[in-house]
Amino acid sequence: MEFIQIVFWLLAAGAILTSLMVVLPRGRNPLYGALALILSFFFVAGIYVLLVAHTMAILQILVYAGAIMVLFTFVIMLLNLSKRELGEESKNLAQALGVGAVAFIIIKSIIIVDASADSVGGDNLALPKGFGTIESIADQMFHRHLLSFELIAILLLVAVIGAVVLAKRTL
Amino acid sequence: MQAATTTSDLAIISPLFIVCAMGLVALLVAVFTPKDSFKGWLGYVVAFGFALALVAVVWLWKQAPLTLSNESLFFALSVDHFGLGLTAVILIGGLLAALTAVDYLPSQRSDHGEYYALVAFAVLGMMAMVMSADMLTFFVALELMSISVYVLAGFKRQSAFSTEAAMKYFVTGSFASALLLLGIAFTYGATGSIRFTEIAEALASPQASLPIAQFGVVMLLAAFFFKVAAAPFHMWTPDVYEGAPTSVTALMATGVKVAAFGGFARMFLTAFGDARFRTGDLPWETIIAIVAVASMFAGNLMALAQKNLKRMLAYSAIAHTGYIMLAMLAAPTSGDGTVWLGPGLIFYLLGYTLASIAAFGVASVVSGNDVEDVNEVAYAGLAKRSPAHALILAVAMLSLLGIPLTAGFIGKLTIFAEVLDGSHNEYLWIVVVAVINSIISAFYYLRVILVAYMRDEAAERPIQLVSSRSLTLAAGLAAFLTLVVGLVPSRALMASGKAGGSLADSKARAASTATVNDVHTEADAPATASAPKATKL
Repeated sequence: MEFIQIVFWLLAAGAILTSLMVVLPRGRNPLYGALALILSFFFVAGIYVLLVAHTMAILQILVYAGAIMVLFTFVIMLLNLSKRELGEESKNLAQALGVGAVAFIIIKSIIIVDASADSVGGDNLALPKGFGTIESIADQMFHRHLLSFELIAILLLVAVIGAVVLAKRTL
Repeated sequence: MQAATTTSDLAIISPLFIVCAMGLVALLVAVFTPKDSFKGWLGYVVAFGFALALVAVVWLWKQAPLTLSNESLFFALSVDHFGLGLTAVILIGGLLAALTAVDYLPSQRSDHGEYYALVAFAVLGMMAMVMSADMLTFFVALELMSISVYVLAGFKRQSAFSTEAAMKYFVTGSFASALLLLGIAFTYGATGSIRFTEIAEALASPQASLPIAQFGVVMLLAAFFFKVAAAPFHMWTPDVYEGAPTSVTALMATGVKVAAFGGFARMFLTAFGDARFRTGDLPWETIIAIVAVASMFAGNLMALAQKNLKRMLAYSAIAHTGYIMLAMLAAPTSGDGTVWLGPGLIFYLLGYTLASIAAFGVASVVSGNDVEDVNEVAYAGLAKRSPAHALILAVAMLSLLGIPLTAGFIGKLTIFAEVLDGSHNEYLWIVVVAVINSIISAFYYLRVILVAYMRDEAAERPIQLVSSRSLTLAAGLAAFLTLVVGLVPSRALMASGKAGGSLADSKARAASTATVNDVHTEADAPATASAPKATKL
């Protein structure tokens, strides 16, 4: 096993473990979940580094672990929900079915990917020159996918209008 | 095909531009109008924008299929007859839906200018969705449409009902988007591409990894069923349709459905049109056939029990989803694996759009006085109180039922004939099921007409009708067009057939323009051209 593989498995295990920590222990302070989510973002960023997507890794940490998580923690602390408001942990058939379905999908996808990963075209996987640099990402964003970029601008505008329309006290 | 097209890129995407600009204008004007003044005239502004875009679409239709020369636009959009035809249907639906809101919103004490901006942006998303040529544009357009409609569903802010509808729609819709993203990711993993035509090419090659792609297709199908409200994924529909303001429900039943069907039909038929996917060991045709049958029964049987007009129309929308899905089964394949569509899908969507707008228009009329519950009492004896609206309602119901001389009849007939021709009677059973379901639907559609014309217990406590010229105009126009399209269907059928058939050209066009484009990319951006397969995202 190469060094890089060991690093990958450590990062992957860490990412999965911390993601589980976000959702699993219910009924306690949601702040723990948010903190586990930050850790999970760091592990995923590590995997991005292994994939030679350095810019993505930095953006992941800056935007998600930095900005968005601050928002999360702020909202959680502002709401300051008590145990009673968070509600009792409910276990019913629908939840069991949901967990079963998710487990099935995960196992199925692992089997499929494991069985056919080798057949994914070999030479297509070679990285082009300058892959993962800011320059190539900018080229993708402002050149290749310009229309989507512009549509996302409208999408963000709609999200802002939506927040105001739905939440402002007097409109 | 015709490389000599000289229409500039800006002219080709002008429908998108016009709609976007009108949305921004409505938004800015709304900011500077006094708070308690009448905002309905913005509805006319946006409707005018839709009409203008419709003119542009008709102008482009004559020159289609158009090739965009700008690289990013070329990769993102395919402006063919299919996209333009569906855009026209969406614009007609959006125009009429915007007109229904003009006087309806003040009657619900929700007259805010942002409404019309959001409608314009939602329609922009729908248009981009049916014209999208890659997964990224498709997803962004879908989200633009969905998020606008989530907000619109909760637009009656003082009503807990409306807020509940928005919340339910948002949660289930986000889940569907997550599934869609997962499907896109798996497809990209299997093929190394997000363009529909390139996915089809990659899958046709012998070393393609089919199991991963099939896994992705299942995810994409689940997202598709969520968005069009097909049977096992339909639970949100009645609550959302009922809780949302009626003018928004009209948009949801028409524009959102047309865009979802158009976008996903293009995706499945272009990218996964390969015979191994349609009828192989994990065939999406069979999945769609089962879901279509389930939708028809779930929708029609549940609709029988509904007293509320909006709720009944929601279940009828589920049933109609089932009928429309049959058109996707009927897609014929030529020897080299190119797939196209008959006129059925687009024609049916047009007929369904018109009839739905008419039905929801009348539902808005009878939901005056801030009444949330459009039950039988609301429209009982409507024929005496307002004969014109009763007539519009009757035409809408007859068209949804599929009575001859209406658009609904021709639509159903075309789809059934296509399914029988396309499958060489293999799907005869499903047509029989659809006909049985049409007969079941007669019970609840005809009951609405019966109540509107025969019963009159509302006389002692009549519900104030929303008196609105624009609302009556929109609903009346929709009903009139339903009859026109039903009586003289040949032009609409021909256009739909041309639009459906243009799906087959997309592959040929991709091949013929590839050479032109290669030169283009090498001259412009050597970095992206060197390894297009690995740098798609």
